[in-house]
Amino acid sequence: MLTTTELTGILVRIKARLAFGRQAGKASLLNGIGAVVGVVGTIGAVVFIVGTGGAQDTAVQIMLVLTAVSVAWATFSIAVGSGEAVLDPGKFAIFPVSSRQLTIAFLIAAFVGVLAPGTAIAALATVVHAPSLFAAVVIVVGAVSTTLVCVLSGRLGLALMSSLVRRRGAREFAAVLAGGIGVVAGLVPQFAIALADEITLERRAFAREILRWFPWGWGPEGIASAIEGRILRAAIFVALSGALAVVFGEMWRRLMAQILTTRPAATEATAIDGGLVPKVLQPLGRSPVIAAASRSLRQLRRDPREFLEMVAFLPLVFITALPAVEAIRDGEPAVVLSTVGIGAGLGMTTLNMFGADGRSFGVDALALGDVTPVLFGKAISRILIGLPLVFLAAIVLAAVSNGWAFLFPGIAIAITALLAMASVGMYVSVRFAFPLPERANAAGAGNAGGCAVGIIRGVSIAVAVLFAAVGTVPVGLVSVFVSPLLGSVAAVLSLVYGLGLFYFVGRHAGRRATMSTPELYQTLSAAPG
Amino acid sequence: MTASWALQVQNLWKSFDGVPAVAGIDLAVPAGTFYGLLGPNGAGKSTTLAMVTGLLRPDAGSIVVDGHEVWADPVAVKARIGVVPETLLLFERLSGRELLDYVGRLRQLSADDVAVRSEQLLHVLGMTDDAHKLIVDFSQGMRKKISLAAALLHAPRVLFLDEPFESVDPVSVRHIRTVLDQIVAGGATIIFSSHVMATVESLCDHVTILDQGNVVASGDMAAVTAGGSLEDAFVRAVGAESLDGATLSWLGGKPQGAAAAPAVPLSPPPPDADNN
Repeated sequence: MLTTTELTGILVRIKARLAFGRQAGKASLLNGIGAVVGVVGTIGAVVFIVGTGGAQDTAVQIMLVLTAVSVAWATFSIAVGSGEAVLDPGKFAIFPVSSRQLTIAFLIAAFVGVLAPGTAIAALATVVHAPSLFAAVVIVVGAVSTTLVCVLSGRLGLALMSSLVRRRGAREFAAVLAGGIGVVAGLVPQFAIALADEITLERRAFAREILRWFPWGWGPEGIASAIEGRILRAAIFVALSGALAVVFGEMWRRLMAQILTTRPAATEATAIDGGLVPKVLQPLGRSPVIAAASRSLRQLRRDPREFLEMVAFLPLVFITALPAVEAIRDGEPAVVLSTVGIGAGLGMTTLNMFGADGRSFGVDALALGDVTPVLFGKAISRILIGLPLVFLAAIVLAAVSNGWAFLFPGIAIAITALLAMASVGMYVSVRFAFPLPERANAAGAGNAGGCAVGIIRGVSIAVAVLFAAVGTVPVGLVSVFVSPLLGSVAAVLSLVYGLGLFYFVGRHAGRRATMSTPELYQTLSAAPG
Repeated sequence: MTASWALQVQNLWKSFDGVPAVAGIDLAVPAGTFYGLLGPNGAGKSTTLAMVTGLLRPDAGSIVVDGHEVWADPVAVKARIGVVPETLLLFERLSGRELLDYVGRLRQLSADDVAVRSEQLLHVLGMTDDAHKLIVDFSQGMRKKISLAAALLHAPRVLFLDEPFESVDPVSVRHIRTVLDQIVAGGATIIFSSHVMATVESLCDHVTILDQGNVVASGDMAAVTAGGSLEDAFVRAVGAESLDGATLSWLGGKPQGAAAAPAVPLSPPPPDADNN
């Protein structure tokens, strides 16, 4: 029987090798960049926390920031299926270790990496504001419990989501949950920036009063109270936070025990009626593009990984929500043009289209000498999902603002944005394919790649937005400042631009995928199990 | 190069981290034969099959399948081959029937051909009742059979099979063997790897034995076995050592700690993880 210390040592070494070990060129570079970004982020947080020393409401600001970090750990793991690196306890089912040992070892191993240590360092940095030695001790204990709550929240969030998406009936609820969190996360910064002047010291203090009764605010409230020298109150909140960490730890241990003793059902769907190609696509013939689009639509419906991968981007659909709300309030009919945000947001879901295929990409690679149709098919599946949403949003906005004159330009630029973003998405899907984990288990199935993927996606989205802006901004300007009629003419040109970009960039990406089929296959085959 | 050879491989090399997995092998597989590729674990069989089917780029060497260079003319080659790889390539969230429909469409088969051939293949492989289930819910043997059906759907000229009978029940094995015999009788070629010597010996007319990335024996079955069994020829070719009775003598005895048995170091496999 292994001791907990020995098991922890093994896991820490494995995690260190995975996080910092020598890897293939591109992966090593991206992990390096990811680590640098994580370190820079941590330094930024520490500088902010230490730098608030002169501010009037140091304790309030620290409490709000740490609570936001805690909530982010819990919600992001649900919304995007990612967060702290995921080790799969199922692999340990055959070894003589208990669920308690695994829980402790996994928790300690979580601190090999960037996110968990970064959170711990940021929380511990608050000790510089300690008014006394005793307060410093309470702050350190509070920082530890806050960090543990963060890490365990991330684990439990992943487990909750992967459990929901495996159940077909709960899949829609999972989408609403993930999408809702994403939308809130997307809208809050927009409104925070718009209302920055109105966030006064009193309102921050009021927010603290509310958030301290929220479990994820207990640890931060304990730290803030210690900074203010209210030791008894600080000790109570730190104790509450510690108890929360213990409860979360026990929940996770039970989950571990379940994973070690049961094989999770892959799916609850057993009988599939009907054919591969949906009825709406059947008139389009039997081309490989239609086959690939149909297959992709089926996967989006049935595969939790591909489903979550797409849902993770959907909150970006609300990128133009704030300007749209303001325009409706002002009775501006040009609000219909904000439909472009939906097109752009949906276009972003194309950035890793091969990711969920994993080694199944070999089916395409073996059947087709030229895999371009698969690339186009997968992009078209996203466009087919996006088009009804674009039409619906444009019609609703036109109805509420009486902006029917802007209907065609609005729809056209939304489609152009979708096509332009999908063009960049096709290229990125080939050049920077990241295999998603092959299966989802109750310990979670986060997106592979972590920070590195985030960086690639950030840069890709920026480039895609540029391409989309070239085709959409002129239409918007002409429609608003000249006339909607002339805007409609420009919208036709915009559609031509979008379609041309989609075709030619797609062809280029397809050629590249074909030329590098073995390398793409090998990359995708490296999916975590 | 002529099409009288189903597969011609010359000076094929592949290394991983500087360690050669395939070290300059030559192969010549006559068309219309049942060809066995044998070797111990790590001999380079699967690496070779991945390279000749276009899933792994070789470091050097030429590969010609049915008269077409694999890396110069992949479209022509892929139209002629069917593959059941060691690591099964399947879209798990399609049903068996949907997978066959998908592969048929990718290969530009007519709807009628796909329907008729799928029905027959599913029937022969004993999968008619399971065809509507998602592949993710299939057993290992069912996955192997649906993979074989997908590989056969377009009637390939050359069929590559990596351990085709692994995990497959005896009744299905018998059916599959009948199908494979029929394929070879029709003029197509089957190249398959297996560790089951009896199966290889009863099916194949030619055989190549690989060891540490090199060809250590090759030719028609009679020449390789030299009158003995294939298993003896295999052991002779790869130079396997026999174990004496003292080796692993601690197995099956007392639990660890009760005797002075050597400790077995426990090194759990690296769990898959994504880096944060």
